[in-house]
Amino acid sequence: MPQRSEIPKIIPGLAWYRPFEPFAYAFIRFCTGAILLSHGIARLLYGASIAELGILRGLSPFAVGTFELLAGTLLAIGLLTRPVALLLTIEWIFIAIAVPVPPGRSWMMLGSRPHHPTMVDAMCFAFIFGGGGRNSLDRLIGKEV
Amino acid sequence: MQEEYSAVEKDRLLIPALAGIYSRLAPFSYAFIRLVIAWMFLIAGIDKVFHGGAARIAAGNITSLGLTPPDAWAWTVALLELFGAILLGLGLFTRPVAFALAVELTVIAFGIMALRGFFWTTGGMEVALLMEAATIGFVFGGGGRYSLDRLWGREF
Repeated sequence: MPQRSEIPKIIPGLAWYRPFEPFAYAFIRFCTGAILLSHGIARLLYGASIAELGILRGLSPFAVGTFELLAGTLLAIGLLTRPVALLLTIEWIFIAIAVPVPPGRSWMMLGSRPHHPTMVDAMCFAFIFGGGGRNSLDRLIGKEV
Repeated sequence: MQEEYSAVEKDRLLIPALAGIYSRLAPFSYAFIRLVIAWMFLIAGIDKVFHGGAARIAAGNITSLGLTPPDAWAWTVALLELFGAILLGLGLFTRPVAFALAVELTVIAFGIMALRGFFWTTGGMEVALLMEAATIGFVFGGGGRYSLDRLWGREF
C-alpha cells in the first residue's frame, strides 16, 4: 500500500492542498471540542437544563457545566486528550442511552437528531485511541497520558 | 494517516506500558470517525430514498429554502446522502464526496437547523455543524490509511 506522500492525484493540478492533509484529524478534534464546550457555557451562563443526561440529571448543573467547558477546551487544544476523551465518552453514553426510542422504531433508523449523542460519543471514543495527534499541545509538550 | 500516528513513542508516555496498545489502535481513529459520519448519512439516505423522505423534504425543507424544482433537489439530496454515505464509508473518492456532503450540511445547518436554535435537544444546528466539521476534515485529509482510495493508490 503506498504511503500518503507517494499517492498520485487523479487530477495533478489538485496537489496544492497536500500541505493541509496532516491537519485533518486536528481540525475534526478542534471542532468537536469547540462544539462540546458550548454545552458547558450554556449551563454555566444561561442556566440550560441538564435533563438530557438521563440518570445523571440529579448532578449539579454547575459541576456538569464546568466539566463540559473544561473538557471541551482541553479536547480542542489537544491537552490531556486521551483521559478527557474518555470522560466525555462516559458522559455522552449516559446522554445517548437517555434518548427515547419510539415503540416500533428501530434504534438504527432514528435519524440525525436522536443519533447526535451517539455520534458525539463515537467521535470521543475515536479520540481516546487516536490521542492528540500531530497538531496538539500533548505533542508540543512531549508528554502525554 | 501513516505520518499522523507514526510517532507513538514510549518515552513520551506518562504510562509507557500503554505504548503498544496506543500504536496498534491510533491508526484506526481517523477511519473510525469516517465510518461514524458515513453511518449518520446512510440512515438519512435510506430514509429519504426508500421510506418516502424525499417527498417529505420536497414539500417541507426544500420548499422553505426556496429551491426549485423541489423534487429534483430532494432526489439530489437523497441520492447524495445514500451513495455519498456508501462511498465515504468505503473511503472511495473521499474528497469530492466529502466536499459535496459538506456543502449540503452548510445549507442544512444555516438554512434549516439554525432556525431551531443551536443545541441538539431542540433539533438545532450543532448536529449538522459537527458533521460538517468532520466532512471538511475529510476534504483536507482524504481517505487516510484504511480506505479504498489508498488501496487503489490514486486519489483526488
